[in-house]
Amino acid sequence: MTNSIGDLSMAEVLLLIGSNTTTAHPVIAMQLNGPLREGGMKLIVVDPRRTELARRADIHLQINPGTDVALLKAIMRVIVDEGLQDSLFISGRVEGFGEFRESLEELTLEQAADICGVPAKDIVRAARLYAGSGRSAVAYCLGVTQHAHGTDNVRAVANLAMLTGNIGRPGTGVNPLRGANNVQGACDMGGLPDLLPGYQKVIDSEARSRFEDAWGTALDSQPGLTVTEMIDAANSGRIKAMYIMGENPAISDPDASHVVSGLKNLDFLVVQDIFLTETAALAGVVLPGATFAEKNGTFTNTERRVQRVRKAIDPVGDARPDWRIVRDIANLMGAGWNYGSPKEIMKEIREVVRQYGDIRYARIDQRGIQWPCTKDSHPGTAILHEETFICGRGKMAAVDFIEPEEMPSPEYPLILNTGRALYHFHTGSMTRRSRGLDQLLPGALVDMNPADAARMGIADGDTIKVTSRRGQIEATARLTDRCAAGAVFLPFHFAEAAANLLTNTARDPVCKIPELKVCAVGVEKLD
Amino acid sequence: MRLPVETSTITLTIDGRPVKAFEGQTVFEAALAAGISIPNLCNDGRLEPIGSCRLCVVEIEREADMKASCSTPARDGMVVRTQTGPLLAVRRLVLELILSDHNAYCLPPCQNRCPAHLDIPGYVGAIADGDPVRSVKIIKDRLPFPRILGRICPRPCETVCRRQQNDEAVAICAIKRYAGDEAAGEDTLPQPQAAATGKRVAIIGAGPAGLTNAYYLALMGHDVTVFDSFPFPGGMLRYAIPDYRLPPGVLDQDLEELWSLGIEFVGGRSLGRDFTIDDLLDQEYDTVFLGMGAHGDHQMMIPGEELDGVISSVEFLRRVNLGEEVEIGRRVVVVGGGFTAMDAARTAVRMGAAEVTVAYRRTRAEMPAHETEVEEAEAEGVRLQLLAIPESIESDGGRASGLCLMQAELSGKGPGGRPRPMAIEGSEYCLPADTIIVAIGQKPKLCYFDEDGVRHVFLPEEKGIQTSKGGTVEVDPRTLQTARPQVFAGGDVVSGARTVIQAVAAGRRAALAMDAYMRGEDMARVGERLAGLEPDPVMLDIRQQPRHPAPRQHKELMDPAARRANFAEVELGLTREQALTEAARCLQCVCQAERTCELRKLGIGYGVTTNRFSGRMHAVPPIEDPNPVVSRQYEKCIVCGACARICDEVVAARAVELSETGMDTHIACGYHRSLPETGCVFCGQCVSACPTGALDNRLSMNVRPLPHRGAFEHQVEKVKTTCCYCGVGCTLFLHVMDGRIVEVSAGDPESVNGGNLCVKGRYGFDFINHTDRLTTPLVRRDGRLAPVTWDEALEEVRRNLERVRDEHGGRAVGALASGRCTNEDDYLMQKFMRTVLGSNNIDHCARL
Repeated sequence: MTNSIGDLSMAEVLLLIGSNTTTAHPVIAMQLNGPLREGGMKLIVVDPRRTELARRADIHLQINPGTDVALLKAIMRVIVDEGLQDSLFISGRVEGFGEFRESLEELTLEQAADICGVPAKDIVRAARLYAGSGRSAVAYCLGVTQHAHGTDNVRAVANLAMLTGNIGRPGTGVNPLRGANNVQGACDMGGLPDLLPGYQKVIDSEARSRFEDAWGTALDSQPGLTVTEMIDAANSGRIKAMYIMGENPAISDPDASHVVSGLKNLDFLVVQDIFLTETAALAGVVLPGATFAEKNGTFTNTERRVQRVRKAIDPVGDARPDWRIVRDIANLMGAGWNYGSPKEIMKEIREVVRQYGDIRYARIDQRGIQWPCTKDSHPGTAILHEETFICGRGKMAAVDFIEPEEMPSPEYPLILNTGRALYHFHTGSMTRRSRGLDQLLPGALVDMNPADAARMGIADGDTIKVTSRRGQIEATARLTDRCAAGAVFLPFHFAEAAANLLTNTARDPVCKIPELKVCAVGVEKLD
Repeated sequence: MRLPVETSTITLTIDGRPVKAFEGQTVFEAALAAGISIPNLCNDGRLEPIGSCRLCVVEIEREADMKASCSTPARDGMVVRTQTGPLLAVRRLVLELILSDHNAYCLPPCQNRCPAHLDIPGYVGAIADGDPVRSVKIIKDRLPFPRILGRICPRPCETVCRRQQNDEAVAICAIKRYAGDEAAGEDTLPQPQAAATGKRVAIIGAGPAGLTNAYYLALMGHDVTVFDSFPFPGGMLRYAIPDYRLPPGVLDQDLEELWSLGIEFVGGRSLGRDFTIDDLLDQEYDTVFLGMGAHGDHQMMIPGEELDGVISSVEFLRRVNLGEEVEIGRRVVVVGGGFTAMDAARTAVRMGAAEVTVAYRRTRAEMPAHETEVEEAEAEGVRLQLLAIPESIESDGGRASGLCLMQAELSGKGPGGRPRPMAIEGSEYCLPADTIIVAIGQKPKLCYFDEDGVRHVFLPEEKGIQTSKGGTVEVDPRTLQTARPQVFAGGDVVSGARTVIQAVAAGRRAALAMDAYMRGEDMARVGERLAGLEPDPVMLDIRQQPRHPAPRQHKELMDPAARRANFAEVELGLTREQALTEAARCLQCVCQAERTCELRKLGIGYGVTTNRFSGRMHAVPPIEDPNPVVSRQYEKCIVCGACARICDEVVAARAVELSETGMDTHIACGYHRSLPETGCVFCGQCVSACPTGALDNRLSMNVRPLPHRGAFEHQVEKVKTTCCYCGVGCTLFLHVMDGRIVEVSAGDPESVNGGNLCVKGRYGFDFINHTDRLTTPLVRRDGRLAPVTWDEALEEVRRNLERVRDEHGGRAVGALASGRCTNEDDYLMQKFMRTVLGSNNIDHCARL
C-alpha cells in the first residue's frame, strides 16, 4: 500500500476494485463501516459480484469479469474530457502523460460501457465522484491482479491515481490489500526470481555486486523462474529438484493436474510444512516446520508495517522453525552460517535491505514500524511518494484493453470466478483443521445466479458438477444474486472440490500471474 | 471507531488534578488519558459512548445533576469530581439494581467449601448431561474414591448450596455416589498416567490420605509403595467405618484402580516396629509420606475406665470389622456425639444389643455427627442421653456395670466456640451398662508396645520429625513438608481426627508438593503456589432463579426394622431418573467469565454484598443456537447493549439487537431467528464487548481455569503476536495454557486492528495443536513416507540437492519461499538458493 490501513477511513471517496473486503480483509471492512455509516465517505465498488460492500456503495459498477482496463480507461477519459484531472500534479510529478492521453482514445465511453456491461452514466458518475473529491483512495485486491492482463490492470489503477493527484497525501493512494500475513515480507526479502532483497534487480550488476560482497559469493546474473514457470519446467524436465517451504501449489495454483504432474516428474522434491499437504504428499522428504505460534520473527503487513511474531508454545513433536531447517541444510552443503536466532538474521537484513535499515526487535516490541525505515531511529513511513516518487517522476503508461483469454462458449457457457470464503483461508490446511471454522463452513458452495439456476433446473443445495476444459469438480449449489447472471463463483479452499482443477494457466506476460479470476465452465445438476 | 483528531488543547481539573485534554474529548476519555479510571460497564473504545450503564457519573462544579462522564464533553476550566460520597452511593445503587436482574453466579460456594475443592458444578453438570464417565473423571481430578466419598462424606458442600435460597440444597454427595456406581469398571482416569520418572516414594499408612497421595504420585509417573500395619489397605475406611455405611466390596473396587497404576501395597508392616524412616531413605526411596491416621484414643479420665467392659470405639469398630468375637451384652452405652459414636452405637444394635444409649455432653444441635446419621440411629432404636457428663463407672465383680453421669447445662463459650457444658450440682444418675464404648475422639498413635508390653515412642525419635504437644506431626501447612525435607505428612496424623475428605485433600496436596520436591523445585515457591489453592474468593450475594423447579430427590433407605439385624448397606443410591433430575437442580454457580467480568469486579469493589432488591427478572427466551464459537447465556445479560452496538456500528452485521421495552428489554436476534439465520459472521466482536459472561467464546478445550479448577496446575499466559491469516496483520494475544493455545484476544485499540478481530483471527487456531500436525521428518522409502531422524532427513536433502546441482547445475533446482513464513525464514530461503545453489529460481505463491 502507498498509504496506511487507517488512511482508507480518511478518504472522502474510496474506490474499491476487485476486493471483497468483508470476506478477505474483514477487519478493514469493520474500519470502513464507521465512515460509511456516518456518511463521511462515498464508496465506489467495481466488482462483477454484488458483495456486501457493493450493496452499500454509492455506485456499484458490476462489470463483466476481466474488463477492468476498459472501465478504468473510460473513467479516465471522462475525467480528461471534463477537465477534472490534476494538472499541477501531472506537470510536476509524472511523465508520459501525452502518450497516455492518446491511448484513452482507443475506446469511447459507449464502447467501454458495452464491453463492461454497465451503464455509461454510472461510469460518468464514478469519474466525477472520484476526481471531484479532495481525497480519493483506491484499494484493490486479487480481483485486479489475477488476470492474464493483471499488470495492465494495476497500471491503469496507478494512472487513475496520478491523473487526479491522489498520491502522497493522507486519505489517498494506490492500496493493494495483501492476501496473506507475510506476502509483503516475502517480496521485501527477495523471495522473487528477478529481485534481490529490498527490490534490487538481479540484472543490475551494481546491486548484485553489493550482495556478492555482503554474502561473499558470486551470484547468478540471470533472473530465475516464477512459480508457474517452475511448474512448466518441472513438467518439461528442465527443473529436476524443488524445495517448497510453506506453500501448497497442488491446490493453490491454476490447472492443478498440471502442477501435480510437474511435481511428480521431479527427481527430488522436499516440502517443509506444518501438515502433510497435498503438495507434501508428493515429496521425497517432508520436513515438519513450526507454526507462527511456535517461533520468533517478524511479519510485514499490507501497509508495510514490520511486526513481531512471538513464540507462545514449544513446537509440537519434533517440528522446527523454518529458518533453523534452512540454515541446517545450507550448512550441510558447506554454507558455514552461524545464525543463532531470528534476531541475528534481522541484523543481517538491516545491513542489506535499505528499507529495513533500522528495524530492530527492540524498536518494534510494542508497535510495528512501517518501512522505509532507513537508519538512525527513522520513525517509519506511513505514506509513500509524498514529495517525489521513489524512482523520480511517476510513469503514466499507455494500457490497452485485452479480453480475458477464455470466454464463454456453447459448451462452457458460464464464467467462473474464484476467491475466498470468510471462514477459510488459502488451501484450508489451517482453517479446515480449526473446529469452529470447519463447522461454520464444512464444504464448498458454488454461488450461482438464481436465473441461471432456474434455467438449468438447479435448486439451492443441489449437488452440481462444474466442468472446464481442464477438469471437473462436484460441489453444492448456493443460489444468490451476489453472482451476476452468466457467472459462477467457487472458493478455492477445498481440496475435494478444488477450484484450481478448473482454472486456466493463461498468465500475465510481465509478472506471470495466472488468470484465476476468469475461465469458461459448464454446470450440470447431479442426481 | 473514533479516529483521534487532535484539536486545540484544554485544561480541566479532575479530583483536584489539572488534566490536559483535546476539544471534543469526553470527560471520561480525558480522565482515562490522565490515568484516572472512572467505573463503567458500557464503555468500549471501539464504540460511541452512550452512558447507558450510569456508572460513570461524575459531579461537575456549577452543574446541578450528576453527569455521565462518557457522554459529557470536556470543557476548558471544568472542575470534575469522580469519587464523592453521593457518587459512590449512586454507583452502588446502580450496581445493586443491575445485580438484582443478573440471574447467574460467578463462583460455586460448594467448591470453595469442599476441602478437596472438587469441581462440583462440573461433575453434577456431567450427570445432568447423562455422562457418568465424564463426571467421574472430573471428580477424580481431585479425589480418587467417588464411590467411597459418595457414601460417607459429611458433605460440607451441601451446607452452602445456593439452591437453599429457593428450596433445598442439591444432593451433591448422592450424585457423586451415583456417578461412581454408574461408571464403575469404565476407564475414568482423570489424565493419562505420565511416563515413569524413576523416582521412588514410600507411603506409611494405607488410609484415605496415604492412598490419595499414592494415586496422584503414581499418575505423575512415580514408583509408589504403600506400607500399613494392617494386612489389608483402607485404614479407617476398612477398620473403622461399619459395613452398613461402606460395604467392603465398594471399598475394594474403588481401590482397584490404584493397583492398576502399579502402586504396591505391603501389609502387616509397621513404622517403628518393623522399620524406620532412615531404613526407607537408605533403600533409595526419594520421599516418604506419613499418613498413619489417628488410631489412638482420647480417654475420659474418670474412675473405672480401666475396667473390663469399657472399650474404645476405635478398638471396638476395628475388632468388629476384623470379624473378631466381641461380647457386648444386652445394654450398651456409647459416650460421644460424633460420627464414630454413631457408628459404634449402630454397630452395637446390629450385634444384638437390646438397649443402646448414646450419652453426649451437649444438646443434639451441637452433635458433630451429621443430622441424618443421628436420625438413622434413632430409627434403629438408639436412644440419646443428652446433656450428660460422665462421672464414673460402676463395677460389678471387676467388670463395668453402669455409667454414672451428671446432668449438664450449657453456659458460655468454651474453647472452639462451642457452648460449655456445666455439671449441675447433685444431679448424678447412673445408666446400667454391660459395655461402655468411649468415642470422644482420637489422636495419632506414635508409639507401639513390644511383645513384652514395653512402650516404644518412635516418631519423635526419628531424626528431624517434630511433633506437637497434642501428639500430631508438625509440617509446613502449605507444602505438608516436615522439618526433614524428604518427609511429608498429612491427614489425621497431622490434623488429629478429621473427615475422610480432609484427609484426601491433604494426600493430594502432599502429592503435588512431593512431585515438585522430586523435580528439584524451590519449595518456598511451591509453597506460594500451593497456598494459591486456598483462595478466599468474594461471594457476591446475587439472587438466582432456578430453571428446574423439582424438589430435592432423596435416596431410598432400607427399612429400620430390617437393618437392625444385619450389616447390609442402609442407604440405597439414587435411580437414574432421580440422579438426572437432581443434577438438573444445580444452579451451576460458575461462570467462565469470572476472572474477566467487569460487573463482578465493580460489585466487589463497591461492596455490593447484600441482596436488597429482588423482584421480577427479565424474561429470557430460550435460545436455539447451533453454532460452534459463540456461547450466549442471556440470563447473565445486563442489557447494556454493547453487543448489539458493536455488531451494528463496527461489524455491520446487525445479527443481534435490543428487543422489547422496559423490564422485558433483552438482546435477541430479530424476527426470532437463530444466530446462523441472521447476518452473523461469527467474529466474536460481541463477546469481546460484553462486560459480563452473557456472551462468551465457546472454547475448544472449555477449560479456562477457575480459581479452584486447576489454579495450581494451569496458569494462563498471554503472548502478544501477529495474526497468521490475511495481510492486515492484526495484533493479538495468544492465551497459552499447558502448552496449548486455548483462546485468542485482540490487541489494544491503538493496534493496527483497532482492537477488532475477525472470525479467523479469534477462532482459527485449533490447527496448531491438531493431531494432523507433522511431528517428525519423513523420507520416502519403497514408495511410502516413513518417519526418520532429523539427521537422516537433512542428509537425504543434502545428498539429492547436491546431486542435482552437480549433474544439472543450480538452475535445475527451484524453491518456493512463502507468504506464510516469517521475514527471517524467507530471507534465509532465498539466500540459500542464491548462494548455495547459485540460482535465482526462488518465488512464492503471492500471486495465487
